[in-house]
Amino acid sequence: MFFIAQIKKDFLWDFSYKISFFGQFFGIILTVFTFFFISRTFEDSASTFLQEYGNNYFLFAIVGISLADLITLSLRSATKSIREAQAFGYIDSLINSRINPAYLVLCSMLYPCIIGIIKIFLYFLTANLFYEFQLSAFNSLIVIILSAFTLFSFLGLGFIAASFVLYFKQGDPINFLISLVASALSGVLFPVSVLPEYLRNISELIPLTYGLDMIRKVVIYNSFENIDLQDLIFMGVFSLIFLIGGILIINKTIYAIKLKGISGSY
Amino acid sequence: MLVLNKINKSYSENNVIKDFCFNFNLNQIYKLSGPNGIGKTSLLKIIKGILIEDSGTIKFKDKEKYRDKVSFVDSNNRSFFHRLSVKQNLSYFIALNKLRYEDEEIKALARELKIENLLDRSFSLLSMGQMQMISLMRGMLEKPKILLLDEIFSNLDEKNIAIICKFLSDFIAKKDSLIIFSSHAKDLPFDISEEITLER
Repeated sequence: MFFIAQIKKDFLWDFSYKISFFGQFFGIILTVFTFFFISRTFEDSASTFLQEYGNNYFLFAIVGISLADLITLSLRSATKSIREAQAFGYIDSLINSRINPAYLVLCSMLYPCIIGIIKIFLYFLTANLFYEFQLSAFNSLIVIILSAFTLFSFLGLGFIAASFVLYFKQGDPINFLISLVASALSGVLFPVSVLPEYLRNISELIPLTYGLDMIRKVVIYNSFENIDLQDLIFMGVFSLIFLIGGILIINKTIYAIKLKGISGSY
Repeated sequence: MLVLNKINKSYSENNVIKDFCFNFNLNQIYKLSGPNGIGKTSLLKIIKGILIEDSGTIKFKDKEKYRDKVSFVDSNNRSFFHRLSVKQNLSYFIALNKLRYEDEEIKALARELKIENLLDRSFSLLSMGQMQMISLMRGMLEKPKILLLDEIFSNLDEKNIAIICKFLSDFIAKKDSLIIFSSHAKDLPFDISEEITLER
């Protein structure tokens, strides 16, 4: 099972840098601390924009930050692992192996995805120390599934970003754009209803908007009844279109770099 | 038999390989020679599929799909995860090639190459020559029918060259396979079937 070998290798590699490995979890405490007191500052001035989220800005922000963290961590890992393979010199071993390149990129996102999901729960656990809230085991499972589903809708874009790095080596404009658009327009730190209509129209095209909305309602109300099937279908269709496009682009890119003989250059 | 027919490869304006034709027979060892930049590595990489030829055909036993039967070993010792142990590295590359090995099989191969004592060491602590031996071992773990070796003798001392040459001679004698290697080294202690000199 290659994906297990990939997760194991990525863990061993990550864990070999002890300070960085443990350091990634310590930032959570500071983030939760900061957003707890930001939300306390505006606690008494109930916002109409936050009404559907029970006027709970603290949990609103924690869900936004933790899910955005998962998406960016996983997407960047795909381009980071390709960049490392180019720089260290094992890229040819990877793209000429018996594993399909798209599957290889997918597998390189699994370990960061696991870390991202662990971080989501650490965010919730730490948040619970500041503000007590209930989340049943079943709803926790729903949160994991929705998080993975939201991430899945970005998979195709991850393949396109990986293709860019395979061919052009430096720079990662795809992930930069995804991070920029997603964090500004999908409601990571503020509800999209605050945005002017023309920007709201754009945010409705971003799957993270729907993922965040659904997860927030599960966490804040400890209930999965607000999950909208239509939103899930939109995310599924979005995933499929970009996934097919991403696989086509990555296979074309590998053919192009083999033809030009630039796979090993960095 | 591995048949290369009218292989052409150029980088920009530079035509490196022009109408290369050759039939490589099984159970033979071939040496590619010629000055630097003549296209030895490019030719080996084309056979493996790391590079795609501009034109021409390659067939192994009359089939064009043969690349999973080819191992390419070069002298690039950066092509490993330096912070992992040798065994951890090999396990990863075994999985990458959809293969399965018992620990004992890996140890047996390492014993043949006289590097059994290196398996638990961190890759970063190995010498260049030891890294080269591990690189060959990784290639052998792919169970190749065609073994391509690109300048693998460059970092090795005489003792390790002798070990590798004996190992390769045994490999050719036992398996229905062939070896093509490029090297500037002279008087290697094993029987070379034919030396192919690439020229402009």
